[in-house]
Amino acid sequence: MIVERIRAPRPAASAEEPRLRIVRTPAVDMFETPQAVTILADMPGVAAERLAIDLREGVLTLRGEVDSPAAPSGSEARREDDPGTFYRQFRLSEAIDQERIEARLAAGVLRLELPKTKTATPRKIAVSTR
Amino acid sequence: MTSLIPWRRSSERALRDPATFPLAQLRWDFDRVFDRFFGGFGIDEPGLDFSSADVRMDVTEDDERILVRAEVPGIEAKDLDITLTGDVLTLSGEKRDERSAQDGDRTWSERRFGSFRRSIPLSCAVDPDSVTAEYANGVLTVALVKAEGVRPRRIEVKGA
Repeated sequence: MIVERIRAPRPAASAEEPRLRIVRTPAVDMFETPQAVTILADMPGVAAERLAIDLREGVLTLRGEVDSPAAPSGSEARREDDPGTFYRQFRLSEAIDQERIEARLAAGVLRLELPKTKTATPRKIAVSTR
Repeated sequence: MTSLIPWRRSSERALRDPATFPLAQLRWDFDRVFDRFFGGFGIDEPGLDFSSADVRMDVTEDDERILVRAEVPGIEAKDLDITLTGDVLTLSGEKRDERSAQDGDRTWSERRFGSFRRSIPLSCAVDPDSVTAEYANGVLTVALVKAEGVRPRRIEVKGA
């Protein structure tokens, strides 16, 4: 598998987010062409500056913090949950060109483009007949 | 969590709308508690229709205002519809599949598409002219100002 979903990873507390928050797994769709793999992830409420995408040892980690809305002062009438932290990991095979990964966040949806390496991209070899 | 009972058959769709079937909300709440507790058994949820129950909403309020926050990622502002009828706020909209031709074949699917509708009763009357809505980062925030008559008033106690 070129991009493998890692199940139920748990984020570690960090200097920026020492407080333990509810961890949510963003829903993802994945697409593949001979040239690239595309991942779409729903991360509503995550601003670009609160999204960290980390790649080390072939593991791609998405971590997005959701800031609670500027809560009106006072009591909460009803709150379904802490909007929490979106967290998900993927293991990338050698077939992905790790230098050329691109990410774009729009309307709470992250789009990751993971191009395949030249050697992993199928190539037609022309046969010359002189 | 993938439902054990095939609730999502289209003929049973109405059962999932809290407006027509109040237990839908309860059932969804159970699912959420179950998911949180068991972590969904590590089962990846397959792609299912986007329904009312998938729209996560928070309602907060103070003396002056009620704030409604709804998570609707990937929806264009023009595809969102907000109506206020008395003290019931209804959000509806449609999430479109943003796959483009050059994305190729879908190899994994968890995100949901389609239309949703969710109504929530507000805790008190609001001023219908004061409603504002904002969409940012896939989150819709609706702010409603409480009607004059229902805002708490501070009453001073006079000393003798």
